[in-house]
Amino acid sequence: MSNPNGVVYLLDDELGMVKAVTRLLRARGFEVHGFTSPASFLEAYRPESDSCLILDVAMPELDGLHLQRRLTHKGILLPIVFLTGHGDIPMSVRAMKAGAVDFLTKPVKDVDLLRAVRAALARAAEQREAATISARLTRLTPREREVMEHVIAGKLNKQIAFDLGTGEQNIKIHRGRMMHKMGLESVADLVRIAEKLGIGRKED
Amino acid sequence: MRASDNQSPVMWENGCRATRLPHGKGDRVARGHKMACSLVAIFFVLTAVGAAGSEPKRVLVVHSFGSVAPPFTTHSVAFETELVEKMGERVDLDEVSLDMARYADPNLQEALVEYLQKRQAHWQPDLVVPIGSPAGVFVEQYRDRLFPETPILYTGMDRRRLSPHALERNAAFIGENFDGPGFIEDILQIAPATKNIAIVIGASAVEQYWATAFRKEFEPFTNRINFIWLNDLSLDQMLEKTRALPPDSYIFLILLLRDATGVTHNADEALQRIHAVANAPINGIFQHQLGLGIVGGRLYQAELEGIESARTAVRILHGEPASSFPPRIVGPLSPRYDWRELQRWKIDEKLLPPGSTVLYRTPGLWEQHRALIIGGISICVVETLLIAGLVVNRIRRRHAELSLSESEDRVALAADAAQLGVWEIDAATNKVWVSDKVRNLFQITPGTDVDYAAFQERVHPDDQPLRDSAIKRAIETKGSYEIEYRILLQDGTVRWISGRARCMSDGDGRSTRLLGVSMDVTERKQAEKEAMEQRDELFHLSRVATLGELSGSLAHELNQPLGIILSNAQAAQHMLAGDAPDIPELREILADIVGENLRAGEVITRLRALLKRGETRLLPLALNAVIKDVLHLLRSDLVARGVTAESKLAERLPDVPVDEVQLQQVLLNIIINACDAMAENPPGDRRLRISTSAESGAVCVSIEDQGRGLPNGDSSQIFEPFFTTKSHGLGIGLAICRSIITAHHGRLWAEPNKGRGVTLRIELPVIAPALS
Repeated sequence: MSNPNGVVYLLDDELGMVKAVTRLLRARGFEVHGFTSPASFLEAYRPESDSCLILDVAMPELDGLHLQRRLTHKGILLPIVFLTGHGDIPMSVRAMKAGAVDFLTKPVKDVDLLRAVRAALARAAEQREAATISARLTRLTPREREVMEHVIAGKLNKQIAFDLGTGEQNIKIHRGRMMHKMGLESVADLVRIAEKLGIGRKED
Repeated sequence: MRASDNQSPVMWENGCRATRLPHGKGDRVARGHKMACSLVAIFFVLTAVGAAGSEPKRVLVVHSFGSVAPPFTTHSVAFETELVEKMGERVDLDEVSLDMARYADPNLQEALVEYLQKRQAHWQPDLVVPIGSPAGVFVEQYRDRLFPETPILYTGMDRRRLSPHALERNAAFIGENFDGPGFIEDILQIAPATKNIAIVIGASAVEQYWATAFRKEFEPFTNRINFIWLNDLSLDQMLEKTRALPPDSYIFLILLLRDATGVTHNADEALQRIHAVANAPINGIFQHQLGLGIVGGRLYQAELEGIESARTAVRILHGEPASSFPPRIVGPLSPRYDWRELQRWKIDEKLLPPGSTVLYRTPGLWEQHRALIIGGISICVVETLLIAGLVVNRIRRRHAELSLSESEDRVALAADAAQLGVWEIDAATNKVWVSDKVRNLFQITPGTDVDYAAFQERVHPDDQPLRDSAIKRAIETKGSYEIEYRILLQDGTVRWISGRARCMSDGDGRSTRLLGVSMDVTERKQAEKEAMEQRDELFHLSRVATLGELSGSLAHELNQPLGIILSNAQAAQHMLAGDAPDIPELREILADIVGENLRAGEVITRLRALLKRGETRLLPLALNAVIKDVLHLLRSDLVARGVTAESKLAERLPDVPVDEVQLQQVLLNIIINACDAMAENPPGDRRLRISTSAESGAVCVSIEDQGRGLPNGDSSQIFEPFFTTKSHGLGIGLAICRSIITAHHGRLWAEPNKGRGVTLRIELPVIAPALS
């Protein structure tokens, strides 16, 4: 992550709007990259940092809702805050269903915009964390995974060994490898992540 | 270059008078005795409806020839009236006048400059408007000393009188570009046999300029025309010359401010004096001279220029940079002629160019009857003939000194049935005989003797000269007339009268009588007015409905600038709360805020104009600009509908007389229809093409879509009221569009495209060819 606070991309076909919103967010300490065409945004977009996109709904080349779909197809899970000059309810419903963080109408107040941008960046951070965890999960062996589910369920090593029909020493080794592969230090961290990813619920 | 101090009213085509400021004739006389550079600084604070509390904008008008010199007065009155109306707030208007035409002494100019410099200390104008070329040249010359920062709007002058650099710095121009060869072509058009043209022009500095300029422009004609230049003569000598010009001569009056002997003249009075003695027809340059003795052609009108200047002035005062307006050349009006002069010089009307207007026409007997029928007056032809027969009969009987009573009774009966008042004037005795119906109409006491004065008394003061001159001319020329005028009754009611009369004289020419009929046409006039108002109301309602369809995208057009303003302002607030605010950045932010604010204001102005109720007002306009305006208003809507608009607008289109708002309405309607027709096309396949072109005597707009085409291929159906293929709307849009275009004397029709879709075409007639 190049910027710990996250990067805000801004796309509006009108330069005046791009300039104004850029100034507003920069004054609040955000790193902002503004664009007036979808093509220039797509070219400049870098997935390294936690980032979000503020997107104008009505643009002559490609409207915002289309761009949202296109990003999803490309696998770019960028949290989007829509800005529109004149929004109607069906439009906002479509946008939210497709995963938008917020749907704001111009003129937008700074507090509303900042709240939405912070929420979008938080979501970006969560998404990044979730993606990392998912990648780590795939590296677990079936046995480690079994052990993990039992740990999450709050069982002691002895109970787990009994359940799985093996020795406590074995469980200790599996458990240690699992925690290491997942990059975690405490059971509390594991439980928090498990909740987010929905692991272990099926046993409840 | 206009310079005449004539006090006579400027007659419009419809016989109304131009409004003017109440300046006395003595003003000009007194000025001559004062300082050489007489200064008339009149301070007006003109208050408009809804005056705002803020500081009023200050405008300094610099006159060339005093504030009571038509056509300058026409120009400046139109300018001031329009300015105050369009500004919508208080305007602080100051005037200064240089009598440069007569006194071009550099020392006196210097005195004037010093005077103005002293005044500037107390009163700094926001805009300086020189009217006429001497004022323009003066302002240009002393600009750096007097108004280095103030925007300048040069108007009422020929572009050639200013240096090429005059408009480089914060200045705009609205004026004319006199077409020298055009004036000669106008003469040759109606008098092809002309061999000599006598040029009347004075010898002052500005006149010397024009004498040289026109001499050069007339050169191509010198192989067939002998130009007789009268610029080194006194007016009396000019009169002698024009009294005895060789056959096939014509007189062209350019300007007469000061003759070669140093005597100052009023060009309009000089024109009338020449007209009285000349043995050849006369032409001039300005519209107001028509009726004073010129034959006519393509004439220039100051009022229009005044209105256009005021509109530009408002935009400059509202913050638009003066240099953003390209120089605007106002061309001459369509050709117009004085019928009396055509008759006098036996010029065949067939020679007049197409689209000409003939004014001051006294209709013949057949035209009278035709007008009677066309005018929609509900008298059947038989009745009319019967009355005419009876009148003739009555005259015959009088001559034969037979019993009058019987025929008079019959005349009275018929006239009564037709609600006609009959009257007769004896030219020798000035005695007037009127029927009871006339007494009734004009509220003349029964039983009293009526003389000419009493007969005129009830006529509305504004219309008295019209009727008076019609009557006198008919008697003089033994002709006839047909006029409509108002009468003002004692209780203050105004009624419209249609009057016709014909002069009858005895075979031996001893007695001359004028026989006339008068009819109350107030109801018809009222109905016409109501119909007009209803039409305008219908146009307005349909406009509101059209805008209703657009409300979403219009909200976008407003929210966009408002959003930019808000974000900028809040960014600035935050920056200012910090320790070291970035001043250049703040400056840029404020500039952006101002720009967006003006943009939002423009959207509102456009909307207000479209939502306003108003009567139809045709003014020459550049069609391309109207189209661009409409596309601007529709921008968001087109984006939202995924429609791409391509416009191919022809350059150098002549202006066409249109009601701007109504034309916008038509274009809005047609474009929205075209978008609706393409709604089912896949995105990316919704292309709209708008093009303009010049046709002979007309300008054409084409709007081409790629939609589903005409229902059943029938192009006439779509213009019928309540015809619609849409699920929304009443289906009256195109019907109203067609009636608007028809009211503009134009045509609106639809043609199926070769591929798919429809092209709608609008054709509007041109009034004045552009000169540039």
